[in-house]
Amino acid sequence: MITLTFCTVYIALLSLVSTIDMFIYKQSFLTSLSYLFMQGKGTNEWMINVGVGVGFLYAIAVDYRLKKGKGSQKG
Amino acid sequence: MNPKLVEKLSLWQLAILIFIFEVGSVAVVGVGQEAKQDAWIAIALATGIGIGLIAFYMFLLSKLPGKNLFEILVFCLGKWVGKFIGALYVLYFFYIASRVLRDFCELIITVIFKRTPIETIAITMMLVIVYMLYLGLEVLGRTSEVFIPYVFSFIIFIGLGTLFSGEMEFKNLQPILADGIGPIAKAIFPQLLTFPFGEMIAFMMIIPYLTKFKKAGKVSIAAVAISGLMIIYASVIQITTLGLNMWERSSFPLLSAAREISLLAFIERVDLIIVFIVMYGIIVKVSVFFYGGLKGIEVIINKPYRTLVFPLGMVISYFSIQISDTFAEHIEEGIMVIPMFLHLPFQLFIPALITPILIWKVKKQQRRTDNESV
Repeated sequence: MITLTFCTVYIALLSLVSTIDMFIYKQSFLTSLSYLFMQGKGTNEWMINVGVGVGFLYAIAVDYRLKKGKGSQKG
Repeated sequence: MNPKLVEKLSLWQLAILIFIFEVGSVAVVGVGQEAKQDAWIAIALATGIGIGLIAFYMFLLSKLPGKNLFEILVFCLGKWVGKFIGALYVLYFFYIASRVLRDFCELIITVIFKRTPIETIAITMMLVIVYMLYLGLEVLGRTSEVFIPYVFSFIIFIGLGTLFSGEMEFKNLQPILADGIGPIAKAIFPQLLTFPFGEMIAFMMIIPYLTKFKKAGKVSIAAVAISGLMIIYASVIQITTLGLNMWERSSFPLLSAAREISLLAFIERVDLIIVFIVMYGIIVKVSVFFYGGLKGIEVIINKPYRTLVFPLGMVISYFSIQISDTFAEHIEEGIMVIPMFLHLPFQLFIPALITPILIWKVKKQQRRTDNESV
């Protein structure tokens, strides 16, 4: 559930940011969306990508822990 | 074992949080530029409207004591529609948290960490907030209690410092109402109404957790009034010190004003004081929005919000960078799109729409309990 929530929030925010960009730059939604994934030269965007990646792994770990806890309670 | 989660705030802590929340990012970017030298009048009027707004939010909360905004939405609109609108609020809170974090990051890389990547600032700052919220809301309240004397006295000091440095020109505030009331109205609606006063909607997630809920209304109103006075004070400092042209052009006007302070040829470069004020203001503001979003998710998925603090904190730091390429673009979005398409619907329209439903449903519930008791 945690991972699912994480992914939903991430995708929903991506859509929101792309929609706002689409409105401001008068371009298609897909162009705005693909622009978000492009790494600008000389930037350190990899850091935030790593941050989100770590967050995703953490969410999976929490889900696993919760599931394990539930399983041991049932047993 | 997880440390015990503390989620009770005192009235004093609430007042402090509201004060820092309101003054926080306004101190960075400055407000009311559309009203030019009459910005202080616009802010004064907007404070009055802000007081009305918080009174309105308190009215909604008082109808269902102990319930937060999301629970009120579910109560009024039913499980599915209520949760859907709640999910939109979650997105709104997270998006605004990202924007506020970006404000701070831009200030920091402009003023002190000129060679540090903005991404590092965003992640580190978010980790502090994540830790604070992981330990519970009361930790945020208690930390604010520690820092409030500094924040308050530093803002006062900036005004006195510029005054005694001889940098203030009060004639910069004249002519008063040169273009009539038009520019003031333009500055208030929607800009000043929504930022910073309308953003108080996030407190609808915090106020239900007060130890003395009954007195929260009066305390919130007093806190908004005091913050309004402080914002007026800050804008007068900015306009009188920088002059109209410089004030309009400056990205961080209070910071530029603070740089003019030179007392006894000894007290200089006090702009770091502004960085401190802003840093704490931003921590509080991002925390309140982030907490609001997390509590919303808690209502939607029925899981304790703590498990989501770290992963979603990283999502906020990610979007604080992704929302715009440059600071100019960030500000443009903040003026052109956000107030009309995000702030107004979430701060005014939806609460206004649910008000009659809430009143009707509460009355219906009361009638039913009265009948059952008879």
